[in-house]
Amino acid sequence: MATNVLNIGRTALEAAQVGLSVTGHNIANASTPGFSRQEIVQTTALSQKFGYGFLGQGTEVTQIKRNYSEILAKQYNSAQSGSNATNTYANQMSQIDNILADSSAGLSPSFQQFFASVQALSSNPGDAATRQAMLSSAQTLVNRFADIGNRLNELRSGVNLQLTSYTTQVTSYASQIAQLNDTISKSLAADPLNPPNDMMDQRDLIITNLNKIVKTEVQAQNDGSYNVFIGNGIPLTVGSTAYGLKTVNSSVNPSQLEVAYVNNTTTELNDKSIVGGALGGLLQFRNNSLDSIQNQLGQIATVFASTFNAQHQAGYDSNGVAGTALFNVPGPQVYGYANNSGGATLTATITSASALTSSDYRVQYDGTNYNITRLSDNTLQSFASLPQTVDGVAINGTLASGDSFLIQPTRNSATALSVAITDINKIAAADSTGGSGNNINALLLADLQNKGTMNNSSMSYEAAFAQLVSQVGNKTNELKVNGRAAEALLAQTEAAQQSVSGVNLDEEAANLLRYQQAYQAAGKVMQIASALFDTLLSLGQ
Amino acid sequence: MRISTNTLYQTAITKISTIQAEQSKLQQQIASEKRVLTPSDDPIAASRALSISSSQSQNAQFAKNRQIANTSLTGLDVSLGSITELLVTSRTTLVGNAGTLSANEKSILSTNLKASLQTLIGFANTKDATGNYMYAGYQSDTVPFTATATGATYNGDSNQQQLQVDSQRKMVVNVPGDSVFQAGGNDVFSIYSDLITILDNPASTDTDVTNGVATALANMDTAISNVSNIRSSIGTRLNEIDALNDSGSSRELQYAQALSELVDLDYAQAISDLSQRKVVLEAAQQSFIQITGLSLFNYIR
Repeated sequence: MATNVLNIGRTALEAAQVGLSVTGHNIANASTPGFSRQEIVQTTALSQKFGYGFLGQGTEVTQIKRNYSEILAKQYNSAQSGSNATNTYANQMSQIDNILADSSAGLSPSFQQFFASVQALSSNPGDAATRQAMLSSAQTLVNRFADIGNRLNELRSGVNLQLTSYTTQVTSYASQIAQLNDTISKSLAADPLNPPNDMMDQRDLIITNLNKIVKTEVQAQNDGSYNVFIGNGIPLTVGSTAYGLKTVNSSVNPSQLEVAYVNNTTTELNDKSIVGGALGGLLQFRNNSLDSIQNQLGQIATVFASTFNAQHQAGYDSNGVAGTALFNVPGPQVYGYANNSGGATLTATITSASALTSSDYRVQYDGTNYNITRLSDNTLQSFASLPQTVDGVAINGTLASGDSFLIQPTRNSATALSVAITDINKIAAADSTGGSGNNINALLLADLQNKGTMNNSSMSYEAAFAQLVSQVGNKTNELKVNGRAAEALLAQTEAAQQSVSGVNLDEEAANLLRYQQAYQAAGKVMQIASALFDTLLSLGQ
Repeated sequence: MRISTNTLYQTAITKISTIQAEQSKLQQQIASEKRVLTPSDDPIAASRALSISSSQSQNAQFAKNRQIANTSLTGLDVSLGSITELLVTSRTTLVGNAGTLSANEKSILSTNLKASLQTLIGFANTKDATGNYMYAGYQSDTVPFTATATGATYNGDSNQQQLQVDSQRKMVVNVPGDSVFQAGGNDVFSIYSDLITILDNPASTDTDVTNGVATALANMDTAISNVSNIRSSIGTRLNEIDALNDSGSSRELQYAQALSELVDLDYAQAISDLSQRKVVLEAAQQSFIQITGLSLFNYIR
């Protein structure tokens, strides 16, 4: 009997020891990212039947389990991906918001200064200093366009860089998950009752981190491994096989990088299939905001320079010669698709600036029709032949069936705009009558400031810019608000997830005391068992 | 709900950093005196501010143009005043010489008229403050009148130079010389030179001279009335500029006020918000210390 008591004491002592270890482990990892609180599963040992009934045999620890809720983790991960997408988009937009915020160095003051100099020209058209001042302020305005355009270009190359580093990260996560899948499933196969908790935590942490980059779905398999799908269900890890992402030059527009899927081959992914997380946010920013903002800025530059040139060319300079272009107006950019046939060529020229939109266009030849799509609203126009003029852009070329081209009428205009005249005598302030006091054309040039020149004569240059500013402001504001909401949701789901998996140190302190006392009590049991045995031994003396 | 220790810390840190971000924003607003720091702070106000500041800058430019117009027109007014005075003096002289004149009187009158003609040509070739000829039309760098035996020839043109003096108003700010000195075929210089020719001609009879003076007087009256008309129209334009200046100033005030309401900071509000955030921050920090200070481990000895 005494041996039985001693044995019961020993099981209790062991259980308390395991309890203390697990509690210590919890305390040690209280702030380890991804750690799930562990606890021991303790059951009574199998009892023994005697004549008087079942006699307990003490206790045993059957499992160390982690407190992990799949549902809560899923909610947390999904909030993580949503919040990161919104905040990445918001951070990028904030940069444009800041670029446009600079009211003293923005585009508006340069426009105002330029037109003030044209007004000054009209009041003293023969004065060399006044003419020089007008050329200088034209240069200042061009510089402002270029500066804003360059900063937008920097954001664009920043997006390229980030896409590359995130896709590399995703690929690395994929192979880490595959390895963990392998180890975990082998471990579970060997001992189904005792899961490798810490390794499972590690894998779940990678899933969370992956969600920060791109929306990730997990299908837990029976063998304990995870099948992982990113974006719109693209398989990233299946069992112990990992696939990956990388960036490739866009087949449509070689100036930008696109995300591609790597299994046996490399496939360029449609941006729509990459949702959530920083990648989703970056692509959304580029497709929904940056492209259009850069095009709109370019549209203002192109329309301004073209309409100003047209009026300038209607006038006459100091020498009585007909005016020439004051600005060099950049033309549209044309890109052939990567898989075009060899002889395919396409040219695009701006014929009517005021008819321009801020959209890009796709020209595709299907063997019968030239299909020209305005990409901002997917308006399709089909023509049996080229040349054709669409929205102020004349399009001509030789295409084989299946060839496509991308036309960006104004994407690069803000950075490529320049002043064409350096000789102050070439400023055409006069009409054909001539005379150094002749200011007829200067007055007409000054009138352009408030004239409806943009978007089919509905808007002045400055009004178009104000509209752009309001659009950027509204979008940034909307994203900031959404970002705060997404962060609140994230905090909420994190707290819920942590309420199950997180470590509470007070709780662990209580457990420490509990297992310490259990240990002491178990020791006492063993001490008494030993004393009982001593009683027996002393009988023989 | 079970609260993990991490959540406890995280919540406190998030709260504190949120308040600090708000403080920093207020601080920036106070330092820049602006409520709207970036377009996203108030997109509607930001874009309206742009269009108002554009109107404001144009309004300022029109005020400058009006100043230039005012200078030109005032210069013209003064110059035309001198011309009128000269013509009126000559007219008075002519009236005083309306009867039969002795040889000596003819000679004195001729000398007088020659001097006046020179002065008049001088007046007609006046330059303005910027060095441009006032009465040359567009040919502002060409001497408008050169003296000839029969008066003077006009080298300028009949074009009127306009200036944008308000958003919807272009105003003529010059007077072409032909309209002042040669209006309706009545050449002021010829009035003088024709009479001088008669006076200087020994063959002229008394009747020739009397008729000559009478013709000159009649033409002089026409010329004076023409110049007066021009002066009066310049006076009207100067009055209009005054009126436009008044409305321009009141618009300037209105723009400045609108801009201020759109983007400027309400200091009292901002300072009060800032001190309120300070109280909240202190409370958050205090409660953080209190809560995290409460640990069961403090009691395990």
